[in-house]
Amino acid sequence: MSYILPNEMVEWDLYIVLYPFLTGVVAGAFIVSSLYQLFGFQKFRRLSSLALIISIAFMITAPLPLVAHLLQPSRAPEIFFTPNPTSPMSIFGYLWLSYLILMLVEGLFMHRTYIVRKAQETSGWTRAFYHLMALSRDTSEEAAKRDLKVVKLLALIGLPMAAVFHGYVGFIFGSLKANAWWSTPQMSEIFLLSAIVSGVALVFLSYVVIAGATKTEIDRDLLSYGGKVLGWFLLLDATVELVEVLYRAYFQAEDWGAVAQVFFGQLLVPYVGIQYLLGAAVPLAILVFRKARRSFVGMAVACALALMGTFFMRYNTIIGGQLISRTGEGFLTFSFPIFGQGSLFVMLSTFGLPLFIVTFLTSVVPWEAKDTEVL
Amino acid sequence: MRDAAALAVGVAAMTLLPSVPVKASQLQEKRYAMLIDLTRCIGCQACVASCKAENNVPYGVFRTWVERHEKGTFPNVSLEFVPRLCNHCDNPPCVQVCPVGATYRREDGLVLIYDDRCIGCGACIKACPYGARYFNPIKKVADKCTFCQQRVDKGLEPACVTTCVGRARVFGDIADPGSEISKRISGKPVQVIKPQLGTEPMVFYIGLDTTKVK
Repeated sequence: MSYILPNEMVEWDLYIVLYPFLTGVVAGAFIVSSLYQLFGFQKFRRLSSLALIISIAFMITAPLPLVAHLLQPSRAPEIFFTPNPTSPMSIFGYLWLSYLILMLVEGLFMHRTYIVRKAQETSGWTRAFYHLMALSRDTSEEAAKRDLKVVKLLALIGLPMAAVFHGYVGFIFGSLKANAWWSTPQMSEIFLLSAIVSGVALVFLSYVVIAGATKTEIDRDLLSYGGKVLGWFLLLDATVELVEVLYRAYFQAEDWGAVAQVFFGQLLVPYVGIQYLLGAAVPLAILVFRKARRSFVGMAVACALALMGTFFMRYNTIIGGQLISRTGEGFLTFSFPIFGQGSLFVMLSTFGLPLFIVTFLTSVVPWEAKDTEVL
Repeated sequence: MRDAAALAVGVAAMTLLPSVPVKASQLQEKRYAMLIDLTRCIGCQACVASCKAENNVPYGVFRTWVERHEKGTFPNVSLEFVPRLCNHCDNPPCVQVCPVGATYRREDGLVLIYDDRCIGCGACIKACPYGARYFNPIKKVADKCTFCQQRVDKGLEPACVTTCVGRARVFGDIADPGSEISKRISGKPVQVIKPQLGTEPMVFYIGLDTTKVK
């Protein structure tokens, strides 16, 4: 007999699924950008600008699903004015704002030489726009060196912020001891690793799509290298998640029966089928082959599948966790509308917005760092 | 074995009472709690109805409810009725997670919500291990039992207590040794729901089977 408490519902719906997916891409793409800036991954230089642009675009969009989910969206600014220091959620406002400012400033320094040239070459509103963005008119070598130092410093500050920005999302879930599936100290690492997977996957998927659309020559070595990085992070992410599940199964904690019933029952297809098989095993199998990593189609498919796997990891964690009653002896059901509040349509539209911002930003500054104009 | 465990939990819960962290400046303060004597509950649901009426609780959600648990195996079977509500915990996870401080704990122990500050994020609902909170579809904020604060502040008892036909529910100030709740608790083993979570509930039960109620 099913034992569910009468107030139990799936309150955190598709919006809340989308939110960590967006912040995950932010953190993951920023890490890709920083791999070159901080750790000398020279092969990533060409994509450091695109990675930062993707980070900024997804960062701007990240609060939208959160605000849309609130029952009182007009009170969202309260998080700035009356933050509760004991709540991990309360740091969101300040963290989001400071991290966004940091990334915007880093972007301005990264493209400063280009922006100054555009301000000199263009006229009218475009000129005014570039003038506004140019932090100084100095285009000397010394100024470029100084810019590079600033970019490196901002990347250095931004890297732990990226980890905190996404790791704390995992912490929010992991710290809720009322929920059998969420309450594990591993939640932060699981979220962070899958964030890196989604960031790397989206940067390389965007690379092949933009390069294909703009008929830019694709750097096959870069593709292959990106495929390797994605493969290793996929493997690490899937391993950590599987070890967590295996540990729970072996430990046979009080709630394991209920957890197993949901994840190998109601969520068998999205969990085992999509998250692990289609979203991890298949892209890993593709990325093992050098030929596939160097091909446009091979990388596009592997990246798209890894992104889908990451999205379903969020879906399974957030929705799946709520399907288990607090009693551990009953299960809830979840279905989402196609249109309207909390619907699939609104979620896909919200996901489309950062892609639109990426398109806009890549028309303002170069997405590819091929010459010395982009640091 | 179960009885021994229940007794142990009861004794543990009882020992918690005098160890409530009362500051020297608050010795005169009240500390509200509720005792529910399950041996007196007949499962009539009058408390649920009176709560709905008193607090205008919308359809489909509950500030209090009565669970029915079957015990034993045929032919030795019995029914246990367990009224549930917000536990007004001493260590409330809902207060801890509220990002804007809309949920707070009053000095007399009542855990309440500033309706005009709640943003409706649902964090408190997810953090409550007792399922006592819900989104109020009319007010569009998180909502829950307030121990009928509007009545208590006027010196009255919560609606569910005054309606209880068997006097199963007792409400009062456990800091006052002369109060009815203090007298009813003293010397008897009492239990709380999910004591292992460290929330220190202020709703105590007499005769609760902690292996059945979750």
